[in-house]
This record gives sequence, structure tokens and C-alpha cells, in this order.
Amino acid sequence: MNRRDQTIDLEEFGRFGEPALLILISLAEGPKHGYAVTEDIAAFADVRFGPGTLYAAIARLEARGLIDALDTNDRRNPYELTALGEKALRARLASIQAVTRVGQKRLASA
Amino acid sequence: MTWLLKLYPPRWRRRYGEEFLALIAPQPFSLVTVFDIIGGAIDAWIQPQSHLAARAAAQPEGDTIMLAKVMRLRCAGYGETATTADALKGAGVVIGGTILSVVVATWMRRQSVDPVYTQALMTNGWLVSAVVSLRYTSLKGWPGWTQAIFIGGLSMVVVSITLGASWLAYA
Repeated sequence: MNRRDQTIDLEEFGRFGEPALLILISLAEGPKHGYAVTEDIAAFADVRFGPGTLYAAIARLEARGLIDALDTNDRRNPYELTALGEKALRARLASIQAVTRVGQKRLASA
Repeated sequence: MTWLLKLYPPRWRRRYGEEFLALIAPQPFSLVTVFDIIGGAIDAWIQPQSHLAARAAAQPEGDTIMLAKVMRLRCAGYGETATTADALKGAGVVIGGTILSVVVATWMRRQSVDPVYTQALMTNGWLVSAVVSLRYTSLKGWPGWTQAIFIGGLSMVVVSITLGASWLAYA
């Protein structure tokens, strides 16, 4: 099967699953470098990842082709979401949405 | 905190080092960040980083000839810049240390020192030399304190096991 036809489940990232998801969400807005990603995640999710956690997640995302580094002369390398990354993000958000819907439905009838 | 970057594998540093430094340099010292970076470094050593080798091979470097690229791929992850001279130094430490331990053990035997120590040194002195030689090969490029902790700790383990086994043999 072609890699582009596969959907990579962020669950396989283990404890870096949440940082990876938030990085993908941040990059869905457009290319950003590490510092901008950290600030963006802190703004929309109220979570601030340490550099070790951030780059462990970035390395995994890049290794699996979900994000790609853009060529630049700046020492801060920006990253962009790839088509595979967008697909993985859509799948993960849909899964979260389905679980959220069930939770809210059950709370409403409780 | 920039010195913490040295805890990461060489390949990882070549790929992410610059931007990682740009991220941590303006940050104030914090123990939480230090532990986070150490955790990230451990993860980087444990996790397969195959994409880094592929990227290193794909990067055009002008003066890099094909043989050098092949060597770089084969040596990636072994050490930062372990050269032939480093390997010779390491071999020298192992051979020299082994000869020294045998000479000292022979002298101790003539001095009628407890055979537990004599036997331990005679049979396993080379192991400590081998551990010390890592400074020139696998541990090259690591911070001095990391080398000291690794070599010192591993040497103590080797000496303890050796003395324990020797003591059991003569008990």
C-alpha cells in the first residue's frame, strides 16, 4: 500500500500523541518554527511544552512524513503540514469529535 | 542551558541543533525545562532516527565526495567524530591497560597480596581498560562529566563483579 494512502494514527506516538496533535493543529494554520508553534499552542490550548517534548514530537512527525521542514536561511527552521499530516489530523479530530459527541449525549441524558 | 544540547545524538544535533538552541537560548534556567530536555535526549537516543540519516545523505554539501557520504551513513550514531586516530588511541588504552594490570598483578603476587585481589586484577584488568577506552570512541564528543559518570560508574560495576566473583572462588 502506498504511504500516501495510509492514515497514521497519532495513538502510535505514545506519550507524544498529545504534543503531536497540537503541533499538527498549530501547523494547520500555516508554516511555523518551533518557537512560534510553542507560543501558538500555549495560546489556543493553554499548554506549554518544554523544548525536549516539542522536538521529540517534531522528530516523530517529520520521520512519518506528517510535517516537512521548509528550506530557509534562518536558524529557526519552519515546518509545514504535509498532505499525509492533514489526513492524519482530520482522522484524529473526527475520532475525538465522535467521542465528544457520545460524552455530551450521555451527560445530557444523565 | 545550551550545554544540554550535547546530550543529544550527533545526528539529531546536526538536524535540529540550531533551531533547538534558538528555542532554548532565551529561556530562563528552570529545573522543569532541564528535566524535559534530558528526557528528550534520552528519547532521541532510544528512538530510531532513520529519517535523519536519509536527510543527511540527501543534503548537497559541495565538497563532500560520495565515499565520505557513504562513510558518514555507516558511522552515523557511532560517535561524533571517531577517527582512525581515536580508534588507535582506544586500542592503545586497552593494550596498555591490560599490560599494566598484568604487571601489577604479578608484582602483587610476589608481594603475597591476598589472591582475591591478585586474581581479580590478573583476569579482568583489561575490562576496565576497555571501559576507559570508550572515551575515545563511543563517548567521544560527550560532555566531560557524562564521560566521567559513565566510565566511572561502569568501571565500579566491573570491579565489584570481578572482586565478588574472585572472592567467591577463594571463599
